[in-house]
Amino acid sequence: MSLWLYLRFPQLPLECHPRQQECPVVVIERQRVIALNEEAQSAGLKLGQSTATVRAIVDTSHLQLLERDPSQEARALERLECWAYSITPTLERWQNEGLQLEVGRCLKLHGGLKKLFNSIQTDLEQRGFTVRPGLAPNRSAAWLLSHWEQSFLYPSDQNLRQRLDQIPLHLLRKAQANQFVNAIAGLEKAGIQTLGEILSMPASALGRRCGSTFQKWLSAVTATSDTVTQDFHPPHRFYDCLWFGFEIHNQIELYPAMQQLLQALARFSRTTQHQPTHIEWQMLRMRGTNDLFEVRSSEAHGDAELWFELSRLSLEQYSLGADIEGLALNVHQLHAQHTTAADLFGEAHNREPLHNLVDRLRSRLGLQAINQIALREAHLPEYSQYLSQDVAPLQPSLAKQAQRPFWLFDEPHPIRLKDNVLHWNGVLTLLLGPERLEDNWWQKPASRDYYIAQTQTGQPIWIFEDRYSKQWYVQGILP
Amino acid sequence: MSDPLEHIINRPDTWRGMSTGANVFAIRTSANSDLHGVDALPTGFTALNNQIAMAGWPLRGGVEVLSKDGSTDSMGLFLPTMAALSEQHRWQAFIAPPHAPYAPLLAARGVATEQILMVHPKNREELLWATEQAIRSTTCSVVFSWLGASDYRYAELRKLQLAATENDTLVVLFRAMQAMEQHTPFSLRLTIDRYHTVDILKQRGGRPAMNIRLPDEEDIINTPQPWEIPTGKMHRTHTGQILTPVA
Repeated sequence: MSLWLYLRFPQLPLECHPRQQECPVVVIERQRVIALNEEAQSAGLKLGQSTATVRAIVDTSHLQLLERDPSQEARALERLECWAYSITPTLERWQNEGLQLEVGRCLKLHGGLKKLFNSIQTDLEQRGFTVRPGLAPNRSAAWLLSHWEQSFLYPSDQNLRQRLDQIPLHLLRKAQANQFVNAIAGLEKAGIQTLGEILSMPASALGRRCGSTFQKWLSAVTATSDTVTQDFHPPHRFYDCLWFGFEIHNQIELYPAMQQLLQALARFSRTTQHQPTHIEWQMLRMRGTNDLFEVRSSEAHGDAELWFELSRLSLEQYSLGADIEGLALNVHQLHAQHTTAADLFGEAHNREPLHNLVDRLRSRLGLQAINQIALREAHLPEYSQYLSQDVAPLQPSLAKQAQRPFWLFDEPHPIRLKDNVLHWNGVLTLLLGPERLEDNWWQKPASRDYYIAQTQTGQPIWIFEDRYSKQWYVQGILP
Repeated sequence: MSDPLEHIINRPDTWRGMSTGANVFAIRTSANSDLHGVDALPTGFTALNNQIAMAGWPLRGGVEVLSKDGSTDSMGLFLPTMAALSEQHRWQAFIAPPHAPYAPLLAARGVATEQILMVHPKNREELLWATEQAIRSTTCSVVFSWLGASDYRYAELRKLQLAATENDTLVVLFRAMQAMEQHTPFSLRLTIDRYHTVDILKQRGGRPAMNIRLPDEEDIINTPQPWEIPTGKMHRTHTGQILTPVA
């Protein structure tokens, strides 16, 4: 059975803007009010008033006049699409004011219509969207009914025809069935009041009077099924935001919002099977710039708890500015999920993944504070390895050399040569050598004779003589 | 366990100073725990294993190494352990190391260099925090932390020690000689003031032991390398004098 739920957002032009604190807000398009909030309504403003009238009624210093912004509305709808994707994959944007969701095939998953409606209502309330629903076997009827029925009630005892019958004709005009304006005007003149009366007219008479497109539309409205269009393909990015409606003063106040946004991300990541490797938090301000901070993970995952822990560690390093009124979570890229088979019986069964520690340390100490030894092709020891920030499994393709130090100095330490005796924390005794290393001839040529020497405590160290400068250096300490 | 005294004695965090080796086994965890009673890692040096009551590095409770010079000299002591732990495919964390370890040597000694994770905290608080994180997370087979010469309160060290008892990570903390004056919460306290000579200053369930000699590095002292014998350009003597040949 095909069952379409249409979610119409009548206040979308208003609600796509950040929530304002208790001041009248109206949205204007072509000098007319097309949406207004409760404060504006109680100030006496109405839909359809001209800008001049609005200015005359309300003191403009207390009023916010917003020009309609279709791009903002589209972005809000995209966010809603991503949210709705966790309900059903068959969904589409409809007339730029709402979403059509095919829910007939996923009722069992959501535990029935009542439960589904409840969760949709709470979700949308949290997001601050007013919604008018319509439920019908086809999209046109769902859309039409969303203009007539006010609540999320599912009229199980009525069939579609009975519900459509009550719809007054003037509503068809209000519902912007623009192409039929003339036909509807004609029918109204003939004394017809409701959609039911039209539907009971003989088809041939109606066709002659109103044209075949109107007739086609009527049959679409009464159809018991609707062809399923293409499934929705969610974007490989994620954006969601929350406005608090008040100012944030400390970091702990941000935590609930963070958790809520991360839950939304986790849900999106689960339904799309795509996961982020780094996320970006934006501190939203009404005026002025939005601050950003990034949280990284060396492995993609969609675990809300873990992201929350990492974000909290990063947030501790971050000084919160004034007037933060909202929080946004932005993920620019999501990667396809790799599933790894967990070892049920091996030793490592209750250990956390290796990258968790790296992520946790980096979140607090910074990216540069954690590194690994990486190698490059060079003969001089100090150039042959470097510290790499990519913490990835390196290939251990090494020249193994036993007579080498454990600790390598970044910069060789000079040794004092006095009366042909080497001094470095006492007199040095040579044990082994020399071994000649030459390199870097294209830049600053180096030629060194390496020896293993012993300090006075018996500790072997690795020293060399620079053959050009005749200067001796300590390069490292043997184990 | 009817006798309350016996109960207290058998607690792993009860300190028993001069006890003999016999009741060391009481420290062991129950056989059906995650660790199946594995409490110690062989050090790789027979002389040292014989002197430590647990016959190896204690896996619960931490090892404290005191030395004069930022503890650069003592790493040879842990090379066999690092090589053995490489099998576990977990991190070997170096927190605030004095220098970078040299990969070709580690590879030659059988240490998996890709497991070495270097952490560079900026201050004392970060150092303690990072050490505790590394110990608490189950992702490290060994945590080496260079606490250095700063003063640490007993409570701070005790926190690390408690974390170390929680899972099977070997914890090695390097501190300066001055720390000898203070109490230590850790299971084993060593000092190394001469090359390859270890003094056990304190150990849980065992006696202190002095002057434990570890064998010298064989490949340094005893392996002649004929292709490296000086060819007339320079000569050396046993006293380290360098004789430059007459041109």
